[in-house]
This record gives sequence, structure tokens and C-alpha cells, in this order.
Amino acid sequence: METQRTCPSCKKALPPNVPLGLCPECLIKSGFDTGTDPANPGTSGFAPPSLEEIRKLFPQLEILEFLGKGGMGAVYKARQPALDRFVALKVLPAPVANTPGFAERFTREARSLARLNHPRIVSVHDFGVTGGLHYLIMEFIDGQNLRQAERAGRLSPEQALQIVPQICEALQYAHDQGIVHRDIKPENLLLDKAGGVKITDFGIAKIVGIDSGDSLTGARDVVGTPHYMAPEQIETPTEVDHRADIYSLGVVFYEMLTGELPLGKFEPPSSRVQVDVRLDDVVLRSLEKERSRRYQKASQFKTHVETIATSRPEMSSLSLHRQRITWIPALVFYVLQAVLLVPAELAMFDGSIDRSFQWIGLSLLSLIPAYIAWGILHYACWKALPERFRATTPARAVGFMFIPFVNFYWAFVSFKKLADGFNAWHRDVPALPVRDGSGWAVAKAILFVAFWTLAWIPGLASIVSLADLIAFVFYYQAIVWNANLMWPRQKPS
Amino acid sequence: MSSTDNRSPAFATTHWSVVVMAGEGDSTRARDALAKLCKAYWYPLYSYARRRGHSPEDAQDLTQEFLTRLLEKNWIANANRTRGRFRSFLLSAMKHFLADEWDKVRAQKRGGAVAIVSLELDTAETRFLREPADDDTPETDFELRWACTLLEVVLSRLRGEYENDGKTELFTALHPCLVGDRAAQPYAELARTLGATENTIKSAVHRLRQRYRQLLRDEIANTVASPDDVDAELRYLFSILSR
Repeated sequence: METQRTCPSCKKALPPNVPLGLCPECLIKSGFDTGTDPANPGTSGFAPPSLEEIRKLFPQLEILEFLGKGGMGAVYKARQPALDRFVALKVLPAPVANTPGFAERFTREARSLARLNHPRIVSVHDFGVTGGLHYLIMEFIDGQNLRQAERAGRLSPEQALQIVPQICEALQYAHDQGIVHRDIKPENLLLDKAGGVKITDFGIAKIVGIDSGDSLTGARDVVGTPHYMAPEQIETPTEVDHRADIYSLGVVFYEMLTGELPLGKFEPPSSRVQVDVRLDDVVLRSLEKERSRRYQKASQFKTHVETIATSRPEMSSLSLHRQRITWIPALVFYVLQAVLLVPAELAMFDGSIDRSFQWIGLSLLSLIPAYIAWGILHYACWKALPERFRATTPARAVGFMFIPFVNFYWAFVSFKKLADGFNAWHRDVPALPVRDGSGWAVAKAILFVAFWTLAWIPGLASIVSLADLIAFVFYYQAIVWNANLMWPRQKPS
Repeated sequence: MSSTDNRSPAFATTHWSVVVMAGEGDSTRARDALAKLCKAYWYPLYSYARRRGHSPEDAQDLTQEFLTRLLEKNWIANANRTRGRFRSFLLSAMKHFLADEWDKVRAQKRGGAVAIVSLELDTAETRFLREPADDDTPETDFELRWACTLLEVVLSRLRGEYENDGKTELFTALHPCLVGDRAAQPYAELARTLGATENTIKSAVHRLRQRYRQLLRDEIANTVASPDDVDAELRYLFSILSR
């Protein structure tokens, strides 16, 4: 039996069966230590050379700072004194460079990369080997990558719609040259200060051999996550073509819109966030598992996105669908109000002004729950909106409910006038001929419902509310006039 | 070349992300990845079953049956909301299994399960008996076992790497330095016993700790769906162990 031991570090009693007799709590704590890039947990074993080592290897450059470490090497900011320009120096991980065939692949790929000349692609100025270290000297972009931008705060769909076509354009250019990126992910999309996008690390994936299917390089380790890879990049890495980039861009796009990765059986963007429903088609099409069903060219992707970006948005009625419980009573009470107007009108045609007003009163009372339900609906819709779409405050959202209340007030004023008119007229004309006005009343009720149905079409609600306000006043005042027309004043006999 | 292979056996990409990515599609890769995960992390399940009051025999059958079903039937697809972490997926699937399935299964057959994942179930009970049964719930117990199992996986991989490089003694001597403050390690003493300079030991310890950290993060990455979750999971594991 073991004696109870304590952890030499935290002094807590150690439970039996601890791994290697070490305190598990302290072991995990050691995992917190700095030294690894938290953004790249999958990068095993590659320790980037220190600034000193790099300075020794690149005397022609002023090495300014270490910018970061990714799956495919370390990047340093440097200055070329002769040309007086900043450059990014990328050093590839040594273990990768030791694999057979690397030297030829590196030279071949780097040459074709250097030929890429596009405003949206980070250009390669120079490449080579020094002290056994393979490096690329590239254009320096002052800005952040898309991952950093996403971490700093979610991008709006408008920004996503602005970024994606630029990437498509660059991809199309590279694809035309026969170059596939193979590793499109937020870390490789740089946003410069002017809001432009530049793709970096073009073809590096091929140099490093990520998708050569060669497990010897350990490059798969280096990449860490296959989330952005097209299915064929994982299953048949040797048969990858430009359509893999289109898939990866689809993942990036989905993530920009929803903040999540399209994992497993994922929902289309518009059912997660308030975006144009037509974007669902774009995203789903680029994420087709079968590449022949994807966009076949980046330019098609671009055109589709741009068409959506420049035309009127088609919002999904996400909020309304989800709030069925609230909008159904609102609608029911509106219909009830209209229906109650039928007996009111009939009574009026009967000449029974008191009964008519009882019905009108009931009809208006049924508006009160309708307005309350409507207010709740507005609030619920507001709550259902993702935060970045909440352009308005809850108070304002609920405040819309007061538009019909104004309506209500006006209705009363006009009824008051109506009542006064009828009373005055009644005094003059004691005996009214009976007329059948049922058809007229039903038609009006139907019109009323049709009119309010229009209000449920997003975008028309405010117009309908305003029109209703005006129509309500004129409608009831018109009744007074109508009454005069229908029952012309007669001299008392 | 084989040394590269031995270093990270079958960790081409992170396992759980492969499983999650596959979703409902029954890909062999996903099943392989899941099988590997299960092989490493079955003990917390056994312990959970024991803590829920099942006998050692039942707990053995049950763990075996659970894993068999997990691999045979496509349960991953149903695990929508817990997809983020393998740990929570496994626990909720096990709970579901215990609540709905186990009685039926037991009624149908005793034993005779075709082992898909071979488990050292006999040693499991010995191990279970040695561990303290304090007043944790079976769930917190599961999490504790989970964290320890994960650390074991990481440490045995680390030791394996040193053994492959013929540095077993070095590992044995230095591994206590994995815990505690880096500055507080007995470098001078170690230098004396190992007959090396203090600086050599310092850098050896540094390398060991760095490699350990990397392997730990890699292994955690294996159990979460997205690399962004690694830090959160690491913090969570710490909170499990420090309570």
C-alpha cells in the first residue's frame, strides 16, 4: 500500500493512480505556460528560430519583429534597407524541409508563386535557402488577418459580402494560372488598413506537402484542423483541383456569416442569423461535398455574391416564423375587429345608432389585445435578432405598437364626430327608411382584412400603418357623408 | 522515417473534429478516429458505471456494450449540441444509454458481446477499488477520471518519444520537473546526479516541458471540434482538477 504523498509543488495530497506520480492539477497548470501560439494548438514540435538566429542568417535584412507562427512556418517583419520597404519573411519549418523531394518542389512552386501578380494576392519577392532554412520574402501587409478581425468583433454580413468577391477575384486569377491555394482559411486572408483583402500563403500548402497524402512530412500535424479542407483534400489528396479552394472559401464565408463552422449536418446561414436567404444557395453550393456540384469557377461564385450584394435584400421571415405564438393572436384580434364591424354597420343601416355604437365599441376593444400582442411581437422580434442587427432599442421596437394606438385615438375622434352627426341628423329625421346594407358591410370587412394582411409583408407594415391611420379617419367620416347620401334629408311631414 | 510515425501515431488530424465533420455520413475514417478515442478514454466510463451502482461485471459488460453500440450505430449524428467536446458527448451518450438501453440489452443477453474495442477490464476494477470514493457525484467523478486519463495518454506518449530516442533515463530523471514553477526546479541537484552541466539540464527540462505542453494541447485538440476550443477545454480540465 502506498503511503499518502503530497505534491511537491502545490502541497496538496496526491490521490493514488496519478499519472507518473505527478500531481494532475499541476500538470494541467504546466499546460498553461506560454511559448505556444494559442491560435495554433495543432503545430507540434516546430519552434520558430529566434530573432537573433534570423538576424545572423539574413544580414541583408533588418529583422524588426516576430509576427507569428502558423502551421507552415514562422513569419517575421523585416525591412529591406536598399529598397526602403517592409517585407514579411517567412521561414518554413525545418522538419518539413527535410523530406525527400522538398527542394525541387520548393523551387518549382516558389517560382510559380513569384509569377502571381495580382493586387489581391500577397506577392513573393524572393525565396531561397540559407543555413538550411527555406524562406520566402513576401510583400508586407500592415493589418490583421481575418481570424484576428473575427475575434476582435464579428463581421457584419455587409463586410462579408464585400470581402468574399475580392477573394474570388484573386482565386480566379490564380486558378487561371493553374495555381491552387489549397489552404484557404481566415488566417491566410489578410485585411489591410484600407479594407482590402489579400490572400497569402498561396500554394505553400503544396510546398509543405499538406495534401500530398504523404504522412511522412508530418505536415498534417502541422495544419491542425481540417475544417476548411474540401472533402476530397482529405480523402483523395492527389486529385485536388481549384474547386477545393471554392469549398474552403465556402467554409470561410459560412463562418463569417454565422460565426460557426459548417460541421456535420449544418443549418443554412439564414436560419441562424438574419441574412439574405439567397446567400444560403451560395454557401450551400460552394460547400457541396461533390465538387462537380459546386461552383466550377471562382468567378461564378463572385458574380452570384455580387448580384446579391447589389440587389434588394430578401430577408427570411425568421423572426415572424419563430414568433408564431405571438403573431397569431395579433392577427386574430385584427380579424375580430373587422368582423365586429359587420353588425355595427348593419345596425347603422337599420337606423339603430345605439346598437351600432355598441358593436363599434366592441370592435375597437378587440383592438386593445391586438395591440398588446403586437407590442409583444415587436419586442420578441427584437430579442430574436442577433445583437449586431439590433439597430433599434427594445423601447423603440415596442414603441411601434403605438402607431395603431394613435390610430385608435383617431378612430375615437372620428366616431365622436360620427355620433354627433347622427344624433343631429336623427333629430331632424325621426323616421328612416330601412335599407339593406349587409353586402356593403361585408365587403368593407373583407377589404379591411385584406388591407391588414398586406401589413404582414415585411417592408409594407409601416406604409400600411400610415395608410390605415389616414384611411380610418376618412372611412368613418365618410360614413357620415354616406349616411347623408343614403338617407337624404326629408322634410318632416 | 519511422520515428516520425511513432511520434504521433495516427494523429493526422484531430480525432474528434474528424468524427464531427463526418456527421451522419458513415465514413471509415471517422469510425477509426472514434475507435481510437474510445480506446483511450473508456476508463472514465467504467468508473462512471461503477459509481452509478453497477457491479464490476455489469460495469464491464456495460462499458463494452456501450462502446460497441457507439461505434456500430451512428450516435454521433444525434449528439447535436454536445458536439463541441468529446468529453461531454461521451458522458451524455453514456447517460442516455444507461437510462434507455441498458436494461433492454441486459434482458436480451448476458455477455457474448463482440469486442470491437479491446479493453483491459480486469485491471480496471483493481484500479477503481484503489481510487478514493469521496462524495463526488458520478458526473464529477467521470470528469476527474477523464482529466487523469487524458494526462496519462499525454505522458505515456511523451515517455514513448523519449524511449524511442533512447533517452529513457533522462525522462525518468527529469519528469518530476513537469510540474511546478520552471525556475523552482532542482537543476543543480539534477546536474550532479546526471553528470551534466546545469545549463544542459535547464535546456533539457525546457525542451521536455515544451514538448509536454505541445502534446497536451494536441491531445486536447483531439477531443474538441475546433482548435479554438483547446484553451477553453484546458481551463475546464484545470477547474475539474482543482475543485
